[in-house]
Amino acid sequence: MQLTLGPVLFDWKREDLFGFYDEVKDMPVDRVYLGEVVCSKKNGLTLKDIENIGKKLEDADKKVIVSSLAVVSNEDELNLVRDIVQLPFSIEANDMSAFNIINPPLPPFSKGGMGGFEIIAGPHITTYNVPSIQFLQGIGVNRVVFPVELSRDAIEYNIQNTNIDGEVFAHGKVPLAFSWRCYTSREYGLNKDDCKHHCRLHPDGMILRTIEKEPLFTINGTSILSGLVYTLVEFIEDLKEIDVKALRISPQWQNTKDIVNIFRKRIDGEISGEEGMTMLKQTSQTGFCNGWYMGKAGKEYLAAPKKSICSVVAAASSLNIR
Amino acid sequence: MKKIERAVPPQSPLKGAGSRGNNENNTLPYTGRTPQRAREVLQLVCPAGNLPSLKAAIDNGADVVYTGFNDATNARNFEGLNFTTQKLAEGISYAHKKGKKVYIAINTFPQGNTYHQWYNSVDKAVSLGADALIIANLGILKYARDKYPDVNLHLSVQASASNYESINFYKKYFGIKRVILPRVLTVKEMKALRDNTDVELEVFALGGLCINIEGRCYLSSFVTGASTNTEGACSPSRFVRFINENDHMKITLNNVVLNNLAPGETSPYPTCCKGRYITEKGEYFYSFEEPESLNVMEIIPRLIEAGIDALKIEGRQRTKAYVATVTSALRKAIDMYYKNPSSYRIDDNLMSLANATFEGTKPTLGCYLEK
Repeated sequence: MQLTLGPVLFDWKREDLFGFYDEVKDMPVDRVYLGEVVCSKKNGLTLKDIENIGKKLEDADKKVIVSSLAVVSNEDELNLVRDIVQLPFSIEANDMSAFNIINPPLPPFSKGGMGGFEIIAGPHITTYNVPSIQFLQGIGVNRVVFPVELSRDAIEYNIQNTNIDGEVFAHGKVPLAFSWRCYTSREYGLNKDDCKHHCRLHPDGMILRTIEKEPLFTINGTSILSGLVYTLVEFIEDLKEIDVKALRISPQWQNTKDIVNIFRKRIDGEISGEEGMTMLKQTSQTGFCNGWYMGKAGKEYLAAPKKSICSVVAAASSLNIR
Repeated sequence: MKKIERAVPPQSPLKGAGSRGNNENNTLPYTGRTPQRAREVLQLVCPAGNLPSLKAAIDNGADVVYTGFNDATNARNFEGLNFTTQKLAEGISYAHKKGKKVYIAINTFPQGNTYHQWYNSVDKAVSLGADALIIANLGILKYARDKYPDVNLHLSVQASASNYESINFYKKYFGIKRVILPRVLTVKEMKALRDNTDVELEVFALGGLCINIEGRCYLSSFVTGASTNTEGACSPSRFVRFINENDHMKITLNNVVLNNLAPGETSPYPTCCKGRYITEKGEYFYSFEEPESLNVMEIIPRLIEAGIDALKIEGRQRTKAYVATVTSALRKAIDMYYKNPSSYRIDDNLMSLANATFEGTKPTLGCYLEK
């Protein structure tokens, strides 16, 4: 099972992003997704920066993929998509426009770097079901990051019936919605057109609480994420069982390295789900959720059923014996 | 004679690109009849959740009524709403007798092994003689196009195709005739679309407004566990409670408090995006939107001049009286434009007639003029 690092969804400064990806080189992840998904007004990295960072990550044996914008509504944004398609990396499409731009013209032969060129349908493409995935396979897509609300049963059914490489959003504030409106600007009494880059002040977004103080949502520019951190750390054995190929960690302002290490240990069977959860509690102050995985409300937190925990203990003890 | 346009000849998309390209199973572009954009007069597309509303829309000036079956295959799946096959047959017959059209929305996203139910809705809609099918999901589009090469397919707003590369992608593979644009574009951006695609453009003109992009919004699903995209209902009523507490009215969705109304304050139907939350600054604020409803009557000339083909009224869940009022108001406005474009002016009476249907929410132009 692979571990992947998703694109940075927040507005971090250029030097902070360079520092972050310097650390990523040494993290035990197999794939790294670069590029801008949320807002074309962010100006952290230039195209050249992305290319340079990507090459350094390839030198560190990571597969590099560039993610496309989730919402594309004008020529400038289309040009951003066209630009990233020209980079020598694989592409994660988050809007159908990327598929149309990739073909034609066909990418240069040398494109794709390590492991060849891949086209991935990102979490913002609505790959809910088998016929949709089969259609995308027919135009060259070889991996799907499932919509975040799909339950394990739906994921299992889709993988079994298409044989697609399935990637699952496994840890981080989970993306819930996009708008034309910039909610961060609105918080500061401004419109999106008057953007003053207030997102910079909120490297993990801004939390919204209910009147009962429950952290419910996070606003991040034109996007809304969960207030709680979504985590499937307790369900690794089950995810392996349903043949999920890769787990995605979504970067956060602090402790991403620790989170990656915890997941790596979980995948390698070195620690149990409960141990993993205990360790993760050091990495976030807002609490956790994961309900969608078991078909419940996304905001809920459910512990993995006993059976999985037993198999964890078994796996862990067998490792000790060896 | 109508010119038949041919799409590009079949070719293997992305040939040689993929390391694991499924070569024997490549998806080929649609090569059948590619509909021509030929509209000269702006079309008025009106909602109906039942037969009386459908008739009210036709009688008050609708060119088209859009509808759905009474199940999860359409995105307004509310209790007691929508059409049985038989009622829809009656509705289509009523519309066709008067020279009007009926579109059927099959615009949700099936999960697991349930997609045969959506296929079944496609079959029913075609056999009923629907003038177009409004579809969002790739798999359902593929089924409809493969089985019915000549049927008119419209791309639902739920597919959130907001640029010409996306729209042309759907045209290339499914021969879509029209796209219903997500409410994320300015009129200027719509005009730019018009210059780069010959797919017909339909935009929302009036009624309730989703501030987030439809088909990609999981807020309600996150709070309730019921997928809006699959079940076709945002903020289903079975999760909503109104609780009186110390003069205030708490509105909850699956036990999460979306709003706390002081005496005299009102709220439209509660959804997460219309809720009020405590911000990091400590304010209790409508963080996503003030309760608002779209009304573009003032800018109809700009929309027509930008090359928009059809205006859509939201509200299949609303009453027959609502449908009659807003249909007739927009009919008057559109006719006024074509009578004399240069003297187009919406008088206050017509404006307030439409705004009176908004259940206390304020009229807005959304992002049509600025973001």
